Amino acid sequence: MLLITCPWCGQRDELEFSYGGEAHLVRPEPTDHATAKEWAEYLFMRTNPKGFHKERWQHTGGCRAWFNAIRDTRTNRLIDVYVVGAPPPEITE
Amino acid sequence: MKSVSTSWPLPVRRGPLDNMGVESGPESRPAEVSLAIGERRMLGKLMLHGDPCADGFMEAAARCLGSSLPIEPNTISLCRVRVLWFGPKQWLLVTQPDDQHSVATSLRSALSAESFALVDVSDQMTVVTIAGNAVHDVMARLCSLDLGAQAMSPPRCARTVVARLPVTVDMRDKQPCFDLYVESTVAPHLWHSLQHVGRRWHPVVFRPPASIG
Repeated sequence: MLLITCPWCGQRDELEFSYGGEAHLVRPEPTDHATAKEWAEYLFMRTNPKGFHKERWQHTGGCRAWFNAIRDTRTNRLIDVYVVGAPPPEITE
Repeated sequence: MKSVSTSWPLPVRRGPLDNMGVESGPESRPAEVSLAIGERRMLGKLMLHGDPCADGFMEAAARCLGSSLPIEPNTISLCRVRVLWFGPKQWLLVTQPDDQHSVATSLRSALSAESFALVDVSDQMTVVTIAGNAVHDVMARLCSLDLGAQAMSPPRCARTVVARLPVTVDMRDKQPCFDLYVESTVAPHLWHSLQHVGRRWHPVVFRPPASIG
């Protein structure tokens, strides 16, 4: 069982959480002047790193709040979590 | 000319678990029983959304309810209503049966200058109560969260997954007794899961009082 730490509720079973994709994607602004290439970058292109990945999660089976997490894609370990709007913590190997 | 009767039978209030025999059980749990399951029927429930960082919102809500809204996760406050922490910006207010309308009216009036949302969810969810010495054993089989007295001493609440359903667990007192807030449409599934897992303790059905204290 993978344990994920919700910033509000504490450690819970991974079954209570939903994955929400890569974090810190910036919507092209102003939207009515964005080019097709900018939209394609925003909607489809992802970094897909081998290593630390900043991603969004929702505690769907609990407080239903969204938060950000840093996961090591090599080991599937969640390294750290932080609330939406906060700067990501510095992670070193 | 034949007269047509216009007297209709009065509507009967029915709960989502009325087919499970919840109305025929004893009013209190027999002392020798290790596991008793019942439904706390017809409690009023209101979902309140607001920003806890807005001083005006918290103060106005506290003035109206008689106690502050709980800010610490998984905590409860008991005042005019029972307030369960539901999320960073969300609380469940549990009232006595049929009291939700007056509470909602006074809250709307008190919070009129603030940004908030208040929704009556009385019929959306119901409260399944389990009591007895076997409660922790039953919950350990249905829920991955540690609800033992050492991990969570009452009064506490926790939103989690029980029998694969989203459930809010309200630990009411030190005598093992949990209130499980579950959506009415899936309440029979939770009921059957509790009965199935608890069958070795020969569960009895009882009628817990519809009280918030």
